[in-house]
Amino acid sequence: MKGRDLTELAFRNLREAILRNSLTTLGVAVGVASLVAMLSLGVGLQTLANQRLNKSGLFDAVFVSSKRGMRFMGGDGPRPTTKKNAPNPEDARVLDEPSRQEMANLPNVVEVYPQVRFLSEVRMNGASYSTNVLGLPDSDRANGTFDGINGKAFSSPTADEAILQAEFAKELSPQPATLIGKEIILRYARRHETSTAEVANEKDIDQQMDDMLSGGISIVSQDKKLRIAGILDTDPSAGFGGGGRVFIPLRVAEDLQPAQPNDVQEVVRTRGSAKPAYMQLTVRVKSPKDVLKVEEAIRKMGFNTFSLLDATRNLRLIFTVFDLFLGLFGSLALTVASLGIINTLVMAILERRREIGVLKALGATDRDVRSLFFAEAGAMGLLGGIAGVTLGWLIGAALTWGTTIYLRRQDLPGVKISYVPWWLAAGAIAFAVVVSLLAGLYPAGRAARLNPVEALRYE
Amino acid sequence: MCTYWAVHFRRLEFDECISTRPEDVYAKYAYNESKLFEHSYASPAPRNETRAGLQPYYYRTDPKMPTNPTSGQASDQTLDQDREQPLIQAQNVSRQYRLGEAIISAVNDISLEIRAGEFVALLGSSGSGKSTFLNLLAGLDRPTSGAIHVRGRNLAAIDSTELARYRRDTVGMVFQSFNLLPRMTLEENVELPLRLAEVERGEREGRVATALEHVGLGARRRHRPSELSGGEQQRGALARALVNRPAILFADEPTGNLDSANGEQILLLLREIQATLGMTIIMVTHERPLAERFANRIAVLSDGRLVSDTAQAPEDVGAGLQPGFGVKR
Repeated sequence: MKGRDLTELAFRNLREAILRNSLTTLGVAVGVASLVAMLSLGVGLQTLANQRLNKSGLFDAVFVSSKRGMRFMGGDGPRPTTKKNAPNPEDARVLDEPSRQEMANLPNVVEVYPQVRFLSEVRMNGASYSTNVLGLPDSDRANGTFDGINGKAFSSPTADEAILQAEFAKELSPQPATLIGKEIILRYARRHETSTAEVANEKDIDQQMDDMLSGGISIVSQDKKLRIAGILDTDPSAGFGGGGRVFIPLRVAEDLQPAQPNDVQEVVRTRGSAKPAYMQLTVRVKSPKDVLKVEEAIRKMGFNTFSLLDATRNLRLIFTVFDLFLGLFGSLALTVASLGIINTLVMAILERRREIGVLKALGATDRDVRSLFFAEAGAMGLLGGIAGVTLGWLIGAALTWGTTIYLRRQDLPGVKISYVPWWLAAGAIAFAVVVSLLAGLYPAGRAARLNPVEALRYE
Repeated sequence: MCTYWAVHFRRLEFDECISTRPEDVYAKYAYNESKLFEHSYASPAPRNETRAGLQPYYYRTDPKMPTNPTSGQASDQTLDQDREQPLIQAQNVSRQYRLGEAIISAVNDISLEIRAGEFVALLGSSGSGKSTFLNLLAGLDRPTSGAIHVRGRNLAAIDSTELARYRRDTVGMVFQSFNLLPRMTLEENVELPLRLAEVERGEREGRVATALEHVGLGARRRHRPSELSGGEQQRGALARALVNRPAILFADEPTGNLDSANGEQILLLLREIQATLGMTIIMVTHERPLAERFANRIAVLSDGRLVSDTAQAPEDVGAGLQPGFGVKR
């Protein structure tokens, strides 16, 4: 029998015992719905976690430092691994501007920027507050770092604007919202390079001695006026490597030339001929899958690298196990539903015994009869699967809705905890069809094996 | 009559058919016969015509039959050879059932040959084994021992799929209790064999309509079996049996559930089919008068054995029947 005829007959047979078949299909739908709701919860939570982590910009980034024995990330972060027989750290490459350009030219690299963080005194209305200032790259404007900001993000990469961390804003004013648009003054230590000629012209012999007679750097106090653009609840650096409480555009921060902790070491090491070197560079890649290749290329350039890819892997593993458990619980309901399918089809065989006999007398092969019952089981699975996915999606939407209401009451932003991606919908329907076909194996085989004479005799 | 059977079975040009009286069609095409009925006991039709454009149906349905490449029909030589061979050959056929410890012989060592175009009645009382024997010939069951050759193939030896194909392509079945599927309309019931035979959708509709028109149920095609009388149901079942153009029609007590008027109408239809198309009909009945009136040959069974096999004289068969009998259309 042709597939279309088979399908027509199957749906026709299902329509004839509409109540029983609907109930069986509903059973499948409930099973699929529980599966979809469970997995959508798992997927939703995973998506939520990924979104939050991606916002931190940690998973598509490679952190680069020089091998010159500096402790990684100002001494707070993990130490870079060093190999035995490694070359003398003092001979290692300097993380300078040419290195930065070289990294920027690597394939799949979006941007390379230094971490500029410095201690500053923030002055406002005659009061001063000591805090850390952090430069934020321009890419943060696009990756959701400023989502939920009170006010606006930086108007341009070179705008003289600042964004305050919410807690710090509360220190400045009991009503933080009123700060937006107002001005603050940053007083910070500026790195000032001095040439040999400048040193020679120095009249003060003590000053000449201080400059070690061969040029170097001096540190001067500098003020910078900034307008407050917004107030942010979250920490854009996700606390990784030490955050800040005042955020300014990275290019503005670089232009300020604030003194960095490694400046003094560089001066000592090079006897005053130090060129500006970066303490650490962040290399942002197109997607997390590019991290390994870029990390490898940078290592070959002679730098230490670190990425959070391993952390991502662990996170994925945790969520996979979580999804597996949720899926198992969801599948239990579908297993019960499959018993319903077996029951319905076995009953159908008893009721339609004579019909099977007639079909065989008219020339239906065992395969035709088996296929017909398979098609009916498959149709119940398909319809149940579609209804189940819809139902599961509705349950997920209800969970999200309820959670959002609860979070808003707690004065927290709402989150989408349930998410039904297309692959989950398609997979759940396919799974329902497969389970239904498996459930139909026994009844279909039994129907196919019926002796036509005995079947025709059946009343 | 002619417009259905001849055109439906493609044995007659349509123009010729509609311009010819049923009697003449009957006289011209109802077979050729001399050789066909040489070994049989009676000929239902005049023998004064040669085959011209119309062939007994069984030649066309056998997929293994070599065909004339120009006409697409069986060659003359093949036709003659085939007529000399029995269409069905049952040799020492037995069918036993096990009932607990006891073994019951429903059919016991029956040998019977049936030639194409015969109308054979298997006559016997209840429990005589006639229905069991019919089921064996129809490929619904397999003999415990013996062989049943149909066109050279032993039904006892072929696999279940081949047996199903035999039932689908070669056999039409009519049952005592009609066995129309109650959930389907009449036309869906009649369409069922065409679905199983994977006949193209476009062709099906016409064939179903023609078959139903012929048995006088064109207007009832959308009715379900429960909305039809017994006679109508059996005519519908007959349309279903014939729609796939079988070579052999098996009828198991086709009048058993009908009153005498309806029963006679069904048998008239069977007779007409046999007479005009040369279809082989094997009918099980326990009513001797009906068998004597309509069949060419009567095989009597008792206790699973064949006790007599009698040919009817041609003049005795179909007495009072005229070509074109059957259901009014």
